[in-house]
Amino acid sequence: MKISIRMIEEKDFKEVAKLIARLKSLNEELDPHFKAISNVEDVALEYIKKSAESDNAFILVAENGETGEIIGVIRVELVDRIFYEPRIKALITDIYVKPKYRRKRVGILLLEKAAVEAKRRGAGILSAVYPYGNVLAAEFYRKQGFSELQREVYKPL
Amino acid sequence: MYEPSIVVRKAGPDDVEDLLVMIEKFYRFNEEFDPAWSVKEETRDVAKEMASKYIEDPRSVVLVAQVDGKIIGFVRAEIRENPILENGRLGIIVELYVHPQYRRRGVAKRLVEEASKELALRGVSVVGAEFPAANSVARAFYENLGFRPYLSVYIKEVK
Repeated sequence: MKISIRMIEEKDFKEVAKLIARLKSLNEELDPHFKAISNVEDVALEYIKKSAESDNAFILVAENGETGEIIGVIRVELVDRIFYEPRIKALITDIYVKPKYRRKRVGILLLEKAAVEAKRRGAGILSAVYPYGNVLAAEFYRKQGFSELQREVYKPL
Repeated sequence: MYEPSIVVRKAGPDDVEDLLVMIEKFYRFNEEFDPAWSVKEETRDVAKEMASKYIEDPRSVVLVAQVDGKIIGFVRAEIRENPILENGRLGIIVELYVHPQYRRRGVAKRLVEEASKELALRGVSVVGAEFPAANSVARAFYENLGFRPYLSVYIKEVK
């Protein structure tokens, strides 16, 4: 199967919203602190539109080269760390590959292309954020050579 | 600690709608761990059929957990026989699901325990659980309850 990675286009928005929604429900399964809202897909659609228009974020999609099916997505935000160097950090907020297309290195391809794009936009660090309970994300980033950057702690109010 | 308001009981025909949703969610969760567990695009009808079958199947034990009249989890175990083994009647938990917002209060543990009791009544001496090898959440859960690895199944795509 030929997989191509490219920038998101408007025609992909709906399909990508579904993938983002699936990621959010997976997060909910793995960590009850991430209870998903009921209209997650609608909100995801807005989120994608805004990201596609923004200068401080980008979305790449993975496409099955034979069928044109969207099989994966990565969303990256550029964060200005005003007190630190390198100042621009690329933060992966979402990455998801359809289960059927796992174990084919689609996630790695998305990650690699996102790194190139992030660098082109001036980022000096690539980082990612995911729920504490998401063991799949933890394993994925560990295998790709990521290490812990900062901690987020919480207590319920 | 169990919350006293959690009731575990046998599933009946009125539970099919709740069961089918949980069956779908169970498989949607497990497919995340291994593409060999990929589920079909449309699962509602299949899940409904599965749920209806289970509750009538004499070789299955299907229990639901309930809080304030709302079904929040279920377990299905099936009895399997291997006549050559000394303890050849096994009870295998094949599906277990608790809605995320009701996790961390011992519901799944309770479901496993109640299913085990029911299986023991039916002559089972060993209870097991099946789940994708890569599902580390399930592995940790069962190990925590004192289960140990019993059977390994390896696969390879041939097409």
